[in-house]
Amino acid sequence: MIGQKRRISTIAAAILATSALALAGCAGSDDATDEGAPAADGGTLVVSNWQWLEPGRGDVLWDAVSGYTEANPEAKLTRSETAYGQYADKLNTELGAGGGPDVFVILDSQYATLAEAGLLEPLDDALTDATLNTSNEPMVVDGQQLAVTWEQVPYALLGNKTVLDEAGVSELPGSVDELIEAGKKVKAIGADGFAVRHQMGEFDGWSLDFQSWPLGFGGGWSDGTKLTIDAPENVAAVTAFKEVYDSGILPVGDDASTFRTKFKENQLGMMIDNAGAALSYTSGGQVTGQTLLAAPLPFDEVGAHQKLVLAVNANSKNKALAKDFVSWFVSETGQTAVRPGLGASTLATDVPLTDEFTAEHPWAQVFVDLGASTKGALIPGFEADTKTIMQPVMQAVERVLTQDQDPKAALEQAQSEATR
Amino acid sequence: MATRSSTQGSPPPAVRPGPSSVSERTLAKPRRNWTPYLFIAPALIYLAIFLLVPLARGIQLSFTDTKLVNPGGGSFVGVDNYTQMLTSEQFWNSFLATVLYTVGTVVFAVLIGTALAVLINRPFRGRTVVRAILTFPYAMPTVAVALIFVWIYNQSSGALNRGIGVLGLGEVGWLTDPAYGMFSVVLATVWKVFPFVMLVVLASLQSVPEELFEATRIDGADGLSTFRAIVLPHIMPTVRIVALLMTIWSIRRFEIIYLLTGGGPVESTNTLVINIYRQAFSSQNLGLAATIGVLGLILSLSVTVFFLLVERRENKREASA
Repeated sequence: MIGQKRRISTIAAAILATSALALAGCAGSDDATDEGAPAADGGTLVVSNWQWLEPGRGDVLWDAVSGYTEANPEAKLTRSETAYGQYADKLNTELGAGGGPDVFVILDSQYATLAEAGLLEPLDDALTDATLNTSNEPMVVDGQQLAVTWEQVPYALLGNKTVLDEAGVSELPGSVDELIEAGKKVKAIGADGFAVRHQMGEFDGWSLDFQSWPLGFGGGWSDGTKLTIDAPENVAAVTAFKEVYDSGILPVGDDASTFRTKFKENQLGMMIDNAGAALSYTSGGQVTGQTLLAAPLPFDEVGAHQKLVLAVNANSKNKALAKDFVSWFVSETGQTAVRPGLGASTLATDVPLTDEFTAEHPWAQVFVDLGASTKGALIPGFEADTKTIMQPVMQAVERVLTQDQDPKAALEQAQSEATR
Repeated sequence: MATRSSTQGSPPPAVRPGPSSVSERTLAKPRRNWTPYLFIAPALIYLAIFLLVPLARGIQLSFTDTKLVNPGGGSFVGVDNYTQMLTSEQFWNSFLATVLYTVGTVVFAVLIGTALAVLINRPFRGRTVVRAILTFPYAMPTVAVALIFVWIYNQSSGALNRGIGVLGLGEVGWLTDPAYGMFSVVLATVWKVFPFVMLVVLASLQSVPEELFEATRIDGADGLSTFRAIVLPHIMPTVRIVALLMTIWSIRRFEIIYLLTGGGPVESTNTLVINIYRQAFSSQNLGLAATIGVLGLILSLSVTVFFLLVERRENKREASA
């Protein structure tokens, strides 16, 4: 009996110990103020960015940031890759649970949410020697720099010269009517005329891309204090989008990866896209830097830009090393290293395009010129809620496209839903 | 142990060993043996940690305004989330989409799966190959199925529209027109899941005694009569269980719907699970997402209870017959 009791006690103790270990493993660390080991001691930094997966450009960018290990030979970088569609959701979940990568690139919409939640490490002590440009100013909160610009990528109208030449389109259109006309000429030779995202299945990308339309028509989703979703300028923008959608020049149903591939393979004439994507079209397909055309958007006003920022996880165990990495990134060495991979984008500091790059990619100067005047994609005054507000807005646009709902009525409904 | 030592060296007992007298038997304290409990303890602990704790946490979250990026920081809001959901038109649209998707998927998958099981249960040349081909969709990863159907359904260049274009019909927005969105998603799902029904029903069919078929042949029954009199009663319990499983799985299915439409077009495929995802990740509102999860759980439990009641009624009916 005694032997049996002892055996039972031993089994019970083992189960309890195992459970305690399992639960301890689940527990997070509260030690968010620890800077970790000094940067000079090295360590492994996990750096997260969806761009690592981009064909052609991903490896160029990774090789560029890996230059940090030359400045700090004790450091090792590990790339964390998640596809764009799931990137923000995965990172938010990880960071919310107290985990996640040490350093990450995020869109400014996600930045606003994470900054509000206190999940970003202030970087001021890592930026004392940096000469940051004005693109970094939106990331200052209560006097603290919570992130630096990774790249600011304006939107422009892109053209495939090979396709447009064959269709007899001599220059990129300057208005929506001209766009439709040019698109029909391209359609006549068997290619698709013009493409943009247009489906809720790509909500994250579409809601970003679409920002250029209301801005291009002089509108916007807020005036800084209240939402203006149903403003007449926005109604005009949605109406114009609907005209393009119905004109037959758009490959309805194509997602971004499909129409981007078509563009690279000379099966699509024009598209609206950002500077980062534009650079990726010049490798791995039939489009080269010489056959890629760029022009301002076919609207009266300038459009939007995407801003991607580099931030450090406030719960990282390697904060000192992570901040040293950021310090290197904004240094002349770091900025020069990433410039070729980031193409015509505005960077954290004013690093000019190289002569070699400009000669190889004449289209890039259009983006550089636009970069000075394009506007951010966050809704002024509602920055952290941008994604939430854009849900009813894009649903309204979808109803206009697929159910022929009146644009004004659709945006009024979105205004009502967003302000509820 | 005491009994064993007391009988050592004795001749084999004529009766089963046990307490020697009535008084000893009645006075003996019942011995509690903990060993079985210890054996099942790991499984119970596993279930508690990975099932009950998350379930309880989900229910608790549904009474808070917790955000995704600060899961430990929500405040108690009472039944506000439930009030908001139950009075929201979007929630009821989502509920209706779930019911439509579930009914469509279960009905078509069970009908097609059962019919094909009956067909391939009969001996014919190449039966093994046909069975393998019909099982193929179930073996395919859901992501691959979704990508194939996205290509098939593409409005401007998809195989389906090219096919009907040859017939002189116009372009159909299989994934972009709200009138066709749910149909397209159900069709893709049924293609993916019908082999499961087929395989389970086939297994059930193979346990029907051959003598019964011989008896119907001797009686001169035709195929339909044999099916109604012999096959159907035999496979019905299996079909009911399969239908229950398919219903529960359909209520909580996410990936194929999300990959095909993301809940669109115009909310037409925004099922409860897609709605949970949107609330949790797009709106970052874990509290509301948990509320929809709890309401979805109630829906699943209601369906399960309904099926179990039907099952019990059928069992009683069969027993009385």
